[in-house]
Amino acid sequence: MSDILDLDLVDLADAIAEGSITSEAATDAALTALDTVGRRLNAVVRLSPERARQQARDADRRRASGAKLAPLAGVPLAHKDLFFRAGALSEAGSKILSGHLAAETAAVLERLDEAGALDIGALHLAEFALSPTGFNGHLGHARNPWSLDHCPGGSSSGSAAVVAARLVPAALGSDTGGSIRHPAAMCGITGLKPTHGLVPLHGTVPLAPSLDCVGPLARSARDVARMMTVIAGSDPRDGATAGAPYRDFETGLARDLRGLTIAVPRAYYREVGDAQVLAAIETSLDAFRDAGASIIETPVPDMAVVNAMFHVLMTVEAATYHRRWLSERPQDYADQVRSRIEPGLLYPATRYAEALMLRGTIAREWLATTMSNADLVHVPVLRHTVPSIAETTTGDPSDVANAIGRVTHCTRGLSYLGLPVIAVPCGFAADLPVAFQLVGRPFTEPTLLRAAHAFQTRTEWHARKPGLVSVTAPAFS
Amino acid sequence: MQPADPFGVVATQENAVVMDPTRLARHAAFVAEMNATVSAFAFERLQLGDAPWSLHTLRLAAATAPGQPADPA
Repeated sequence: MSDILDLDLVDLADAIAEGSITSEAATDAALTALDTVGRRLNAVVRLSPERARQQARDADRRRASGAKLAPLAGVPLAHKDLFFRAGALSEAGSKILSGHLAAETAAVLERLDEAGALDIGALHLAEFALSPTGFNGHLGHARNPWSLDHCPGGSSSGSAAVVAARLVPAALGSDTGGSIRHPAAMCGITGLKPTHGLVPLHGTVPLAPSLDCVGPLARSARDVARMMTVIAGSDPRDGATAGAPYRDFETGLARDLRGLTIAVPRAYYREVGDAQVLAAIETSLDAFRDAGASIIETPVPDMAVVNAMFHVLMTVEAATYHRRWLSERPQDYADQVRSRIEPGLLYPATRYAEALMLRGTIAREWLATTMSNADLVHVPVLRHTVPSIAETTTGDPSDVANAIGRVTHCTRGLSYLGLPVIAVPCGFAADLPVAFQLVGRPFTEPTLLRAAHAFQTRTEWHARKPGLVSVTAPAFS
Repeated sequence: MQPADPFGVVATQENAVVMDPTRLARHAAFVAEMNATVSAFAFERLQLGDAPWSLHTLRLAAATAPGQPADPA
């Protein structure tokens, strides 16, 4: 006997397709879990039980009729409250958009709908997707299922928390400076920030569109690959996706890593950090060697320049969207969020244009310096143990700022470069998850997924389940 | 806000967002540092061929090059 909620995305889709589980049973289990454990984690904003159960029954009827099933037919999912669905609330974790009814549906939700997935609820996120810890001054802080006193990571806090707690098998996140990778790492699951422009942003509440990426959080690289096959590819409503390829990301996933070279930078990424975290990151390289990959050391360019470019782009674009609200309703922002947007009002226009125009040059130089002899780069997500909620919200403001800044040290620069990055769990430190990032060249997500899958066939970190939370769900044989 | 403070002038007059001196002071040092870093790099490195869509160009090159997207698989 197994618990429905223990099935990962691909196994649940297969079970529903072959009829060993009904979509209705899976959906009931997920709704119950979200309404109990999910709320305990403060990971749920709202659920849509009536619509979800109706769609589940429809999916079961289609299967029973012998109709050809889509790749996620009848699978219950939930996503951070950042994606529009026509006629439904979409509030982006904010007071500003409280009560906002979307006029259209996000491109990624349309694609998941077409793939048969059910959208059963909206999940916690940082206000306007702008916090790396899971802080939200309006909704309260989301909780990490491995320890309720610790940050789940943000901004895709609810997505990571509910997938890690096994309440739904996958969820969408968005990543501007690390918002998929931080929560995936802190909650011990797998998250992919795609190449910028591979997944359409249409219908997603923007933070900084030249940096924003939508991507999946799931338990394994295999599940992430299934999600990517559904959501990736160009969309005429998002010009940044022009030229983006459509692919089957599951093909070739199981191939070994012979001939693949992984570069390991020491400078910047590994010079400072908690010993237990850095040791787990280092040990993770053994699995890649075992899979046939070569490991080499590599330099990195000056990341201070890259991070400064990121800061200018992110804050100016965010401030541009938020200027009217900052002018008319400044009191409706949490101070931590408002303070991160305001600097964008202060840069000269030429700084912004420079940061945008130099992006290709800097990305080429980063690739030439760091990846000239390699296919992938291996760096930590966080160099320190997962921070507590207290140390990122209370006390001396400079200590709080430092604690938050440490979270994005290894992620934000990679966002400026627009490269694909996958976060993969690789151990525990202080009883909380540790994860590495693999970075690839543009559109090499299949290589990232293949490498992550090879790692996960040799390790079991991604299969660990937090013991703190539990839910009773229907069993099946 | 001090009228002579250029940050305050930009925020309040040009962007119609009021920031009191305490908030401006909180941002000033960091913004000045980021501003200087980007400015200095751009002063040396920006060329006539650089464009706002430079990253998109890099992506398209990767997507359309022979045998691409580059994947050793």
